[in-house]
Amino acid sequence: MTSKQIITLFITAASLASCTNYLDIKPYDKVIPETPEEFSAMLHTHLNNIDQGTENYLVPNFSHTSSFDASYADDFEVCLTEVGANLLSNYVGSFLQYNNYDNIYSNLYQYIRDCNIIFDNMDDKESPEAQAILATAYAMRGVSYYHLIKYFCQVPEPGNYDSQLGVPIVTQFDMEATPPRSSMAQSIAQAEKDLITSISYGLEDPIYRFTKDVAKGYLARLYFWSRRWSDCLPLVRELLAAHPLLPAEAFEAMMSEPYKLAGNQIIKAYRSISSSGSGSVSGIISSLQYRPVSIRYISNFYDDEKTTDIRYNMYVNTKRQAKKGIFCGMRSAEFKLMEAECLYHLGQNKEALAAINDLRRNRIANYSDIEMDAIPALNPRELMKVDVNGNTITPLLGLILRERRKELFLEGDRFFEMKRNGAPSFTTYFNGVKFTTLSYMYTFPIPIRDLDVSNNLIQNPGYTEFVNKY
Amino acid sequence: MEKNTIKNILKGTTLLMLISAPLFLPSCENIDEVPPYKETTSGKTYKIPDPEPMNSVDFETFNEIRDEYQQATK
Repeated sequence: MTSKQIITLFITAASLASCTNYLDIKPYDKVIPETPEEFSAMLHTHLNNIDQGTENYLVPNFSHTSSFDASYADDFEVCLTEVGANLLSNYVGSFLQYNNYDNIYSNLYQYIRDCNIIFDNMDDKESPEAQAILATAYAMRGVSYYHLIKYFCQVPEPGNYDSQLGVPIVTQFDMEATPPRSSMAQSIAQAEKDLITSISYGLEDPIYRFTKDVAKGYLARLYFWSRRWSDCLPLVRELLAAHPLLPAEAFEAMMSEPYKLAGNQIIKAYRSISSSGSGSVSGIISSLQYRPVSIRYISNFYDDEKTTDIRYNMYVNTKRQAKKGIFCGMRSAEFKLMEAECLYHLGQNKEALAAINDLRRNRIANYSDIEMDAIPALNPRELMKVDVNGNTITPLLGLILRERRKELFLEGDRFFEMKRNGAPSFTTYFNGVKFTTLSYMYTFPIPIRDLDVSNNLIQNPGYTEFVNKY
Repeated sequence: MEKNTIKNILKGTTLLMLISAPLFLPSCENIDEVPPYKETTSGKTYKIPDPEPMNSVDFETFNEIRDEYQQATK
C-alpha cells in the first residue's frame, strides 16, 4: 500500500467520526451578534416596522386597530355595512375562527426572544449606546408581556392574582424550553419589573422610540389594567405634568397630523410614512366608509353638545362615516381618563369629576363644569352595565367611561374597555344571520400549536372543541 | 523511526478505525430519532358557535337600527 493510499484511507476513516452531533440543529454561538451596533440593529428592525406601520403588535397599526374597533367592538354598525368594506369582518369570532390570534402570540414572543438574546449576550452594558439598547429592550419586553396579559389572560382581579392564569414567562433564550403558564401575579410582576428597569435608564433619545416617558405610559397602562389604582395615579399625573392636555384648536391640529409625532403624543406608528406612500393606509380608511358608526357610539354625545364638542365634528360626518384618522399610539388624554377612573375607584369622587371636567373643558366650547348633583343619566344604549369590579355602573363612572369612549374612538380601546367592564355578550347581524360575541371570546385562546408542543399549558375557558380550519 | 515502521503504524491505525467505526456508528444517538407520534391539531381551530338565522325579533331590531340610521342621515 502506498503512502497516498494510506493517507486517503486514514482521512476517510477519520471523517466517520464527524457524525458526532450531526443532528445538532441549534446554531449556538453562530448567529448571535457581538457588538452593540449589531444588537441595536435587532431592535431597530422592530422600531422601523412601527415607523412604517407594518407592526401589528407592539404599537398596533391601522389594520389591527380598525379590526378591533370596527369589527370586534360595537362602535360601528355591522348590520348596515355596504359592499366595499371588504377588509372588515363581522365579529371577533371570525378572528378566532382563522387562528389569527396565533400571530399576536408568536410575534410578541419573538420580541421577547430578541430582547432575551440581547440581555444574555451583549457583553457591553456600560457604554451609552449599550444602555440605550438595554432600556429599549427592557421596555419592549415589558410591553410585550403587557399585551400578552391583555389578549390572552382574563382581566386581573386584585386578591386573586395568584390563582389566575398568566402567560408563560421566558427570560432567557432557549429554543427547547416549554415553560408553563405563570400566575397572573408573576406575569404582571415580570412586565412591571421590565418597565421599571427600562425607566431606570432614563432613556431620552427619541430614535429608540421607547423612551422613559413611553415606558412610564405603558407601566401606567399595566397598573390600570391590573386595577392598581394607587400605583397608576401618580404615574399618570407625572405624565400629564410633562405632556399636558391641549385646548380644542391645538388638539384638532395634533389629531390632524397623521404621521408626525405631534402635541402630547408620546409614541406613534407610521412616523416614516409620507402621504405619497400610504396606499395600504388609505385602503383601510376607505373600508371604514362602508360601515357606518353606530348609534351606540353617536348617542354618547349629548344633544346640546353636538355643536360645541369638537370631537363630534372631527370624528363623524353627517352620513355617520368615520372622519377621524385612526390613531395608533399613546397620548395624554388617555392619562387624564385614567386619572379620573383611578380617583373614582379610590373613592375620591370629587377629584374624579374635576379630572373629567378638565378633559371636557379642553374639548367643548363655552364649557360649564358638570356638578356632582347634575351628572347626566347613563346612556341606555351602552352595552357595559357593570364596572371592572362587577358593580353596577354609577352615573359618575358612566360619565368617565362615556368620555373615554368618545375621546379614544378609533384608537383600539373600545374592545378592551368592554373586556375590562364585564365583557358583555352582544349580537351583530349581517346578511340574514346573527353573530354573537360571547364573554369568553374577549380572552383569546393560547394558540393550538403551542399546546401541541407543550403538555403543560392550560387553555383559557371556552375553548374546548376543535374543528377543521377550512 | 523508519519509514516502514511509520507505514505499519498508520496502516494498523487505519484498519483498526475502519473495523471499529461500524461499532461506534450506532452511538450517533438512538436509531429511532423520530419523536413519539402525537396526534396534532395542525389545520384545526377552536369551534366557535355557528351564526344563527335571524328570527322575527332580530329582524325587528335590525329594522329599527336601519330606520333610525336612514332617518338620521337623509
